[in-house]
Amino acid sequence: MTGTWFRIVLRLIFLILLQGLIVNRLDLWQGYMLPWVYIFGVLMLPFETPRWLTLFIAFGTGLLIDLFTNTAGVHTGACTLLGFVQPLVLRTLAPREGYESGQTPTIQDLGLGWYITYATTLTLVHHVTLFFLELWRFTPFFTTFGKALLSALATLVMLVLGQYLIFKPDRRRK
Amino acid sequence: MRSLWQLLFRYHVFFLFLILEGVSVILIVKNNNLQRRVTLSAANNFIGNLYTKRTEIAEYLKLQSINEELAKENAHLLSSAAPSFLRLTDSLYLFNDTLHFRRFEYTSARVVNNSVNRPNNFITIDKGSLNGIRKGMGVIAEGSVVGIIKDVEEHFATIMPILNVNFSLSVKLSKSGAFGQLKWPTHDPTIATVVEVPKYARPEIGDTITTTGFSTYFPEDILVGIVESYESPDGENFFDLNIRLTTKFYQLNYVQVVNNFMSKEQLELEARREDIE
Repeated sequence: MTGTWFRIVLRLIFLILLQGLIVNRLDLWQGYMLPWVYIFGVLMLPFETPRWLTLFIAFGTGLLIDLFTNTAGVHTGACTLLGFVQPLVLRTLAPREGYESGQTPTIQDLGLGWYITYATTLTLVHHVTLFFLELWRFTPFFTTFGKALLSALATLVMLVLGQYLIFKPDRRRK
Repeated sequence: MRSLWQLLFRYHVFFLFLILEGVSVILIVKNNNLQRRVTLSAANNFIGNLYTKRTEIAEYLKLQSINEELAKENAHLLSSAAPSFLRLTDSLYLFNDTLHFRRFEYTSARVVNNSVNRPNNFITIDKGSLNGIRKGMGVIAEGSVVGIIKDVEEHFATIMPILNVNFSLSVKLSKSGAFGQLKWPTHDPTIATVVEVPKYARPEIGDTITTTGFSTYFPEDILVGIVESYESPDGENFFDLNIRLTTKFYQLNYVQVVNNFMSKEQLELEARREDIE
């Protein structure tokens, strides 16, 4: 258990640095696509994480990203909402017999279809909140909303591709 | 009382969520205000050092364009240096100028972090309070406006550039001298708007937009942009101008911070005027 948490913390730190130092510099399509891959750290939290801990981890992650982008509170707010919604989405998407012990919310363990539903919901919640929090007003509405959708698409592609690149293809699914 | 505790315990996740969101909103509101001091910013030394490391690597790859920029700057300086001028007097002379008071001083700084594609863009530079940088100083690059110093640490400072929804600066049209407010409509890092230009100004396409010298941030007549198009909203007594920014925010490597020796005096005097009203 300690080993798992060590890995989780290490992954969070790695993703924050990856986002802050490299991904933030990506300029896809003149700023219409801004991938926020650091949310992967929150998406990967194990099923049995207590909800208060998820909230605190999400809050802290957002705070650190805010330090990099100089947008105090914007990522903190969006990421805290993500931390609040993530367990709810997990519960909604649970198979009838519940998650097996040792399973993680990944493509390897639960399949591509499940993962796309899971990640799309959460990415959209996070990105739409984020873009409007950053703007701090609702105009221009459609440009901002469009940016949020395109960015969510970019984030999703990176999340899915990233998993195929990182994890070994040992299929524990029957 | 007991039932209150039970309620709190039962919904503790939700209450915790509300508290943390509350903290975020307070941070946003504080940070959106240019006047107020924020504690959480990329000017802090830890992030600043990380950014410097990255810039050192990235700068190696950009050496060519940086060299060109420096060469241009060199040419400019050479042409204004003493050997470029013909001396008209050959006798000794004493230069003790009491007619002129030094008003502006410039500090060069390297950009270590920069973004152009967000609604709230920020620039981090590698000079801070130890180099005499203070909050509220103007920042220019190659003779055109970049932004205003927002936050300062010992070795680093952050700039709120024109490309930030919270940025606002009074500017004027070169030809007619009419004033307007410079704003950024959040999409394009090469375009900005000047709003509330009075109707009598009769703007022309191609006219330049410069600073006014009203504010304490910049000297007068620092370039901001060039008028591209203008329109007047129905029934309004104003023009809104679309301008092309002259600063290349995409490729900003070095900037100059403007120190106005008279800013304190001006601000104090203006604060006193408000007291009377």
